[in-house]
Amino acid sequence: MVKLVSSEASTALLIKKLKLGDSAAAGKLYHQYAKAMFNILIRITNDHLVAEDLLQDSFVKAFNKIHTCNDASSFGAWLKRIVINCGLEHLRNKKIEFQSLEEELPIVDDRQELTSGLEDLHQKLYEINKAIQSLPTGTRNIVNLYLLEGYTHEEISNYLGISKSTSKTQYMRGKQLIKQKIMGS
Amino acid sequence: MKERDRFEDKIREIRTELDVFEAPVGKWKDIEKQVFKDSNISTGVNWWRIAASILLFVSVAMGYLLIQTNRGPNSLSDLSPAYQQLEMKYQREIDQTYANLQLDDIDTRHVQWLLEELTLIDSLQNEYLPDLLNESNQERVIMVLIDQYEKKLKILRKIELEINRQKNEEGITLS
Repeated sequence: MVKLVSSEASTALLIKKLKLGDSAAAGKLYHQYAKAMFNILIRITNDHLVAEDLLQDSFVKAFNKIHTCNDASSFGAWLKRIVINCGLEHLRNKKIEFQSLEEELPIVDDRQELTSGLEDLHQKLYEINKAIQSLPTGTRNIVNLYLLEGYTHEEISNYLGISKSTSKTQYMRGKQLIKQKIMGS
Repeated sequence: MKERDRFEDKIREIRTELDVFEAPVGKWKDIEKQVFKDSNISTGVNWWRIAASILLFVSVAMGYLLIQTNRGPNSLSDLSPAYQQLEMKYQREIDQTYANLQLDDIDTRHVQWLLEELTLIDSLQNEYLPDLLNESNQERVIMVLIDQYEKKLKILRKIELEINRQKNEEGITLS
């Protein structure tokens, strides 16, 4: 009995077809990843309309250079890098200032603090997003890249042209502010 | 050892749920237009790409050639009953698309090259199918066969696009 093709194998098949010019395969890939990529762009740009345009630009760019994606299993991560680059490049092109949180907030090591309300965080999705969106551009993107997209501070410092220590400091401040807003602590 | 941050852990746990906004409706059409009309990946099939695809099919088929004395399976459904429905679906869609094209009633000169590609795929498939179906790696065979159905459908859709484009240029109102 032939086993069913796994989702990774089906993504690999779609990529293979896309490389041969199959627009239906491209459409399926788009619909698989569009929502996640759109939300990344909203978080970077803080602007739905801009995020829509950048979503189009990102996918066009990705599909036009699909021949450079050699490992189908990492297609998602490959696409995400293109999307994030698009978003950050937009900010650079618009000369949006890298604003960061000033030093009025003392950094508190609260990693082990037993704060109530962590259990129902999944019910505060909009509040979390709103809290992230309320951060200054620079801090917001550091928080996005570190907390949500899994980048290291070293990678972030290279991406944003800042020092590693700035990335860490801004992240800690940003995280503290988010926690205060959503958990009232 | 680095201490765990509960807040970070929790946020990462619900990471996917934080994607609360739906992608804009209709954006795919704009992307498709840009990628497949203006760029290197094009639905206007190049001869070399068709030739490369057919060569790939021939290479795979020849690579799996086995000399058999017994009569083997003849189709996807013979290979695996689980795929009988899939093969019927493909064939239905191909037949329906052919019927919609109404090729007997129109001038097909501008799509002749695409029709020739379809004929070539059919003849190659007929020639190598018996040997391909006797290959032991059934999953790979099924993927190759599905790929051929997909290729045929893709070419038929391109024929449909070309015919509609021709009709628009001639000022014939589409129904």
